[in-house]
Amino acid sequence: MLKRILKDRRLWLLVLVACLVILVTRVVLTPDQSFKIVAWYGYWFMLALTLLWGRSLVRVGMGKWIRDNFSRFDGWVVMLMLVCTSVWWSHEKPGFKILADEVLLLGTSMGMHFDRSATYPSRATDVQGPLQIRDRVLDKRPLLFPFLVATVHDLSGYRPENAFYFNRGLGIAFLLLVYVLGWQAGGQRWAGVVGMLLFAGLPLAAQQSAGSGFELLNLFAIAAFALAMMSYLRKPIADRLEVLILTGLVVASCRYESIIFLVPMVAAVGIGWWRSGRIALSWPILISPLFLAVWLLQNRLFSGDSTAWQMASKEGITSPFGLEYFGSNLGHSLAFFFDFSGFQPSSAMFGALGLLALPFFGLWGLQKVRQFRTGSADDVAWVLTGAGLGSIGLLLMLYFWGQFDDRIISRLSLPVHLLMMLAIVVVARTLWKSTTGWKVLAGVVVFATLAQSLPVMAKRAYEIDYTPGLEMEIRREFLAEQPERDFLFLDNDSVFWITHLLPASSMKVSREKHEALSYHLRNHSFSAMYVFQSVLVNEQTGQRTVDPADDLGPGFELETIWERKVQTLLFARISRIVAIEHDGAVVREVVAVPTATGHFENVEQVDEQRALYLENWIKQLP
Amino acid sequence: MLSERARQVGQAVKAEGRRAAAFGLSALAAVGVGFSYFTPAEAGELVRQYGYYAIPGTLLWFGVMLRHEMPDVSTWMRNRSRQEWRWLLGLVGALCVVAWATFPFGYKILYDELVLQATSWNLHKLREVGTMVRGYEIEGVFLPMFVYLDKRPYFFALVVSLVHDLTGFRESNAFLFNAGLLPVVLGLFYAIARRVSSAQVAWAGLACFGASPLLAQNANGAGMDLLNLLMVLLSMLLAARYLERPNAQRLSVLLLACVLLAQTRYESLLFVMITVLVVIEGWRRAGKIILPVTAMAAPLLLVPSALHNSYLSGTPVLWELKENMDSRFNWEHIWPNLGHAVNYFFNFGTTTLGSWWLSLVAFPSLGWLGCRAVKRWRTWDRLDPTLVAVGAFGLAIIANLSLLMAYFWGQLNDPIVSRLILPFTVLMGVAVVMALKRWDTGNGRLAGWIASGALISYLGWGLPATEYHRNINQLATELAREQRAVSRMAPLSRLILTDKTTLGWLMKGIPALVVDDAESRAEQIQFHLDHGTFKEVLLTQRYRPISPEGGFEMDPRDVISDRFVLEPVWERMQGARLVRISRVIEIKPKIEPEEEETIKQSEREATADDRPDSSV
Repeated sequence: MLKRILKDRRLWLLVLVACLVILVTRVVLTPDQSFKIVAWYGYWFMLALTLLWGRSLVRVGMGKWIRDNFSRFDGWVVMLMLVCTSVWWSHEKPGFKILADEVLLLGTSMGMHFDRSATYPSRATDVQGPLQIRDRVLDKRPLLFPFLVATVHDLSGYRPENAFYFNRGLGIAFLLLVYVLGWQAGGQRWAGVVGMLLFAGLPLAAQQSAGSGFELLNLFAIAAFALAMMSYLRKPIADRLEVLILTGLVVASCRYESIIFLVPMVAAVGIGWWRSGRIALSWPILISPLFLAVWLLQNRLFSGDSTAWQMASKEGITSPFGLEYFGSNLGHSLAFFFDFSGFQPSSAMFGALGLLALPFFGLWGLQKVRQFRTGSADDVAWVLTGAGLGSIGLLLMLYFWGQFDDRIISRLSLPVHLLMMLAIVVVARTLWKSTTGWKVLAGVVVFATLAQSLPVMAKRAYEIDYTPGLEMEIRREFLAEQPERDFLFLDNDSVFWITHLLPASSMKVSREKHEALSYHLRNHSFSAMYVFQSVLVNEQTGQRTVDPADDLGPGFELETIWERKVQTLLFARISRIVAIEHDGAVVREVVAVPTATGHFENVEQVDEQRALYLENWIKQLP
Repeated sequence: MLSERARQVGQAVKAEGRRAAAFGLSALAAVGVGFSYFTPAEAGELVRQYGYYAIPGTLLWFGVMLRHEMPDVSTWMRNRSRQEWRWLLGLVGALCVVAWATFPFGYKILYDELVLQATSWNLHKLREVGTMVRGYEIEGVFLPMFVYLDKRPYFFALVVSLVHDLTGFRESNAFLFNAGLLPVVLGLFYAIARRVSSAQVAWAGLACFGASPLLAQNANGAGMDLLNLLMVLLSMLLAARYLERPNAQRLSVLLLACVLLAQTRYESLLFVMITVLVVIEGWRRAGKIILPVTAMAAPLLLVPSALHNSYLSGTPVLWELKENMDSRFNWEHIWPNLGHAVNYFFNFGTTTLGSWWLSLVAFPSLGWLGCRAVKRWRTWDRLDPTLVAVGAFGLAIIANLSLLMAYFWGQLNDPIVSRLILPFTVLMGVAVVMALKRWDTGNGRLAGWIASGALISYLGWGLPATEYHRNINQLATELAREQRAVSRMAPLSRLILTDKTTLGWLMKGIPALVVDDAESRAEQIQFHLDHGTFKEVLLTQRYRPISPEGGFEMDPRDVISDRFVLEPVWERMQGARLVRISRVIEIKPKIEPEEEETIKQSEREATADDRPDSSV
């Protein structure tokens, strides 16, 4: 086999393409060039990847497999899935769950939709009708999720809510895929039902299906990857290999760390070739390393910019990864899995069954590794998938911010949940062969869902104390009450307003553009200028002070028009700028601007002044 | 040979002598009445008063004749395999849903669409072909006070008025009607393509033709262009069927479709000539002259169109000419317009609604077809009927396009003009189908790649262009914002003095006058304010920036007499202008010229009295 590998020219071509991609993306191009390439061609890479992936699924006969295997039982499973997602949707309202991730992802999808740029807008205006993005920023997050949401915008018109709808649809697809995965791993359909019920009873999954984050897509892609690997190892032919490799690339384009799955993917490819005794390669496989270029280029944000690791979020952190975080993170993970207070979106039953099954799954896996040449193809696939998921879990335990009981981090436990589900199903399969065992297990999971998960979902305590999420809801509430959207917002979360097609600016820029703001107030450029601020209440004196980060500084006269309690001792306030003082001159807000006479002698002069004014107006945008 | 042909023609005419004479008389009468007998003003008046009844009559007749075609349609539908249906419905459904979802329903082309809407209002309520300029509620009924005959053919307005008749007047009826036309247009294109090619090739052609942001835009507006496209396709199909088996029934339905098509857009009258050629070719193929009653009546059915055309030709004010122009067409426009056309066809940005993929595959296909036509022109009389029909209609489409290139406002990359290319895209689509039929080796692989290219280019380039054009019509946005602002005010009876067209307000049942007419009607406005007809008079105006730093002055085109004392109630930036709604709080009495002179004199004296003594 080794000889065959060495002699295969196409394989060497594949290696050459991969080496060239690495060389060009990491050595030849400067970081600045890299970011420009990602910004302007990222969309097209994602489009090509998605199309090739879809093509490979059609060629491999996925539709036929579904048609051939669909039974009456599956019909009932679809009904069950509908019930589960209805329960999810009745408790979880659509909204931004994790910030600023979700708003930035939405912003990138907006950039892709409007001008095919894989960036989020930081300044935009619709003064000339169509929205024009004036300044843009390349985000560190992988591009597949924004690309898919941008496609939803493309096909149905731009709506910020499309991201929520997309995740809801993905929730449905994910539960069905988990059912298929459980069925295949457990050997019978009831195992799939157990897998689906485990996730249906996980408040975290419900939360993610109502947000606009990329976690559910990542999980969906990993589940698809596991099935693609199983399919390939069962019959290592070129078409199935194509599906496996493209699915691996899809997974790698979902989240930063999901690139890890390329290791089990390569291992599976090698095993497949070994077991079949031949090397199967098609042209999409030969060009497949090109799709890694986006990840490799975009990832340079992390090496060039230390803030990308967000180490400033925690005190005393000097390195993003380290063994010293392991013990503490493990403790936080247990606190997350076995929380009964409702302040964590976890399911104790899922955690308990998973943690119980994991060691046995590990032992079972070690046993199967020894039989990789002759053992069951499915078992090899589950072992490799488990290894990939386990690596991600391990990586998170070594990450300085890998605490699952942290509001922002808990979503990262989803791959670990998938690992636990796989472990539960595989271990249970070795324990019993009859349907009865699965039915009992399904009953236990349903009971746990009724007893713990549903009250947790109903309380949503895990969201109610998440301040950024609540403040975002207040913004959405305010926006929904405005009859016209023709105002300017000054807010540190300015991207939120821009994604809702409103001009906005951060406090820092606003402070710097003091004069520009007075220009717009004088010329009544916007029906109003609003400021969003967090207000802190002194617990001793009751005195209210604006969060220093939200302070506009001197020279601005504000009038509070909207104030909502976010949580104890914290309010969100929206004020209207009624006057701006600059260089000793005070500009006050007016209902109607004073008008002049005698400047125009003909229509040509009107057009001339219009062009000059528009040019300056855009320059003056904060 | 020639004498033999002449003898055959002579025999044929002899056989249908009476009918031929009747047809000749009818044609002469139609030309005389339509173009010569009446002055433009009289012609316009006739159309205005009686034009309504001509089209429904033709439409009804057409419907009755079309009914006889239904068995063939059913057979055609039955003969399609389940898989073909699945693919066809999937593509048509997807293209329609995307088109409906991505463009919001609304006016895309102002002023055209508002005029059509207003005409449909008049047809619906008064059975009068006309567009109101002023309208008021009198005794609880909103009635037009002044109506003029617009230049636009009124078939579209009439069909929309029928929808109003059946469901009640709603502005959205026009949008919904156009939305409903889109699947029919796509279906008709497929039917034509399918006549000359396999299902796969026709499907690919449909993907190239239908995956177009321009088509999507027109499927959500209130314009007449989609109906025109539908009538072109339908006439093509009927012509192909007639040439396939020329008989009285097929000829009748073709002629009636042609009469309706001629009344869909101005330039569609050209298709009448083409239909005549098709009819003659049908006679040649049949070896006899076929002259059903419809053929004899057809020229007379075209009289309203001819009268309308006479009225338009004699009313230059309707030509919308720019300053210093006395003709709509000129050679000097051709070269610049061609440049704009190239920019439209091969634009990879978002600023035009063209499909570069269609251009890329269609122009070589058209070139290849052209070469083939030159090489094999001697065998044209044995050509497939569908190709003859498409070729004949293609001549008219190309003639129209040539005219457009010589038109002073024929820049295809202008968002207002782009829609005029729609009929040409049919030719492009059919050319792609013909080329695929020749070059696709039978396994459908090439057709698959071409279709994939069309769909991918639509997704990658077409849909961002769609997004760009959603809000490109600033005038429509401005009008909509003013109307929303007024709708949020207290519910009062109002008169709107507008700096734009009054139609947008009149269609909502709100009386409106243009600013230019305000002074001449100041006394009447005051009278109705005094008598409580209007509780409030609002004025919309634009203020223009006077320097880069700002400061605003009223647009010279929106200036109203200083007899009207105004109080601003709402304003907002729209583009680089300030749009303001003001309330008229007083209308000062009109000052007679002598009185004005006296006032000026006393002002001069007062100024002189104020001078310091040293200056005396």
